[in-house]
Amino acid sequence: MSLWKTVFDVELNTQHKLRIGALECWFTIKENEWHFEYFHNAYNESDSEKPIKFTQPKKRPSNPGEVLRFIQSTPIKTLRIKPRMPDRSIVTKPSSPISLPPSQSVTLYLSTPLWIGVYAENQETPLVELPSIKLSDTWFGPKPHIGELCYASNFSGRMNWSNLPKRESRIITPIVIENSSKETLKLEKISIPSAHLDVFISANGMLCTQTLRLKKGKDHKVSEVTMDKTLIPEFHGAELISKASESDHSSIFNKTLDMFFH
Amino acid sequence: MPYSDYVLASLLVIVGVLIGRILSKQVVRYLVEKYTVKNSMIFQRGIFYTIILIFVVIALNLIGVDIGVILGAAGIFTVALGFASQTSMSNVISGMFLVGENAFSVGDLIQVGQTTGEVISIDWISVKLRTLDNRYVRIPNELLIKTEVININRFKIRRYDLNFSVTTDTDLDLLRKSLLELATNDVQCLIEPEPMVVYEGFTSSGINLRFSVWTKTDNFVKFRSQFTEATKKLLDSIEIAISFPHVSVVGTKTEKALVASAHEVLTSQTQNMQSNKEKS
Repeated sequence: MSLWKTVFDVELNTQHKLRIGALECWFTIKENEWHFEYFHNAYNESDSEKPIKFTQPKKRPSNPGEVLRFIQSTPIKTLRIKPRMPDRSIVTKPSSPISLPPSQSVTLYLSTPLWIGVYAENQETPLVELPSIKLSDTWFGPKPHIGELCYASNFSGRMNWSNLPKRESRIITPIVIENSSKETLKLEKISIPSAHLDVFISANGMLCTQTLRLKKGKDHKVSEVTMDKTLIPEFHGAELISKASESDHSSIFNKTLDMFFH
Repeated sequence: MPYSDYVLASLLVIVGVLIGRILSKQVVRYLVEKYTVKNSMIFQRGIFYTIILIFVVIALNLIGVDIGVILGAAGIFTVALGFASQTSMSNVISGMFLVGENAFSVGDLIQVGQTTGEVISIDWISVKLRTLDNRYVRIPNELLIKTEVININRFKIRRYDLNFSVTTDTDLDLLRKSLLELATNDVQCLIEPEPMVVYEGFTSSGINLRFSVWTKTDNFVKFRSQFTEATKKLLDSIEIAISFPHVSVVGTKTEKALVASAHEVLTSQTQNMQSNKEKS
């Protein structure tokens, strides 16, 4: 069974280790409390390719990381780890500039390094939320005082589902871009409103979000941003595994297209 | 006039104070969700004093005081008070402009002249700051209207300019490439606005440069310290020296010989002192 669907029964005085992307974390279960220690390794691209590992090692972590201690009145018996989208929007840049000619519509598959949420027992709120890869911050806006703080990432601009590499520590967001205007649309960077997207898991363990539709209308100023209620055909039957941290989507629909593209 | 009326009037004022306090707090609890903390505080005080005024007028009426006479006297008193409280009134009006201008709010970090601190309250007469070393500073509103006020954390991102000089024999291409790489690899440096290395000109001791990177305002102080340290380590690793003011003395052969012999004497003295220390 997939890590994301498993509810782990944990025993007292045991230690568990999770390695995902560049993140390594240790859970030490004690009576009425548990210790959580984590650190990020120096990131390289191949980290995303590595399979996620959840083990029960006997050794202590080799690198001293940040330690969090949680105390409870009742002993913790179960632990659950869920994939989550980052808490801020992600600004992705294509590895080479992409232009969309007039009257064209394309679907791009963008992948985002996932965050993990650690849940003890059946709690709704995660005790800890951590990125699998530490992403750099960036600013998305026309000026340094207008815009929003985002995470920065790159994308290859893959348009075929079959070409997508299967990476366990990434979440795929299909973006349909429609250019109904008479001008070529330059995609220098795209902002993905991560906090508004739910995470779904397919039967083969791949993670995805709803499809985002960005439409540039005939009139230069007219734009439309929508979020599909159904998943792409490749993900039909996928199960909702993690809800978006922001449930009010009105703020993204009110954004103009300029706030998604630059 | 029965004694009980005075008691009742006093009770009314006390009740007025209590109701004013409770009601203003309740209203603010609702307002805080919609308005800023600063505006909510002003509403709170306005509601509080209005309620008290209503109860005081009722209480005065109860003990038989003619409100009309009081209002007449109040008119004369106001004129007198106006002359006496010019400074206070100036501060009150300045306070209104400050609030309207929305230059800063409670919780913002501002710099006024030599004073930097967090705004803890914006009142009718003055603004109160808590300085970074935890001192309480009161600044009259009138002064804030007249002087330059820097709101340090108004915007979410901020630029850090690291200015230093390097020696003239520095490989500038290598330096620029290494500095930009340092900024790219530091997750605290924003990818955009892009980091910049600007060579600003020659000085008597070397080449001045500005290394500008953007970061989150919340984390600025910690970032500045860490990034300066990282830059110094980088310069050491690529063997680029930070220049310092120095003077080259060019003289005749005799003068050069004198300088050389003085240098020799100093070197031998230093060596002797070191060997004496080791022996002792």
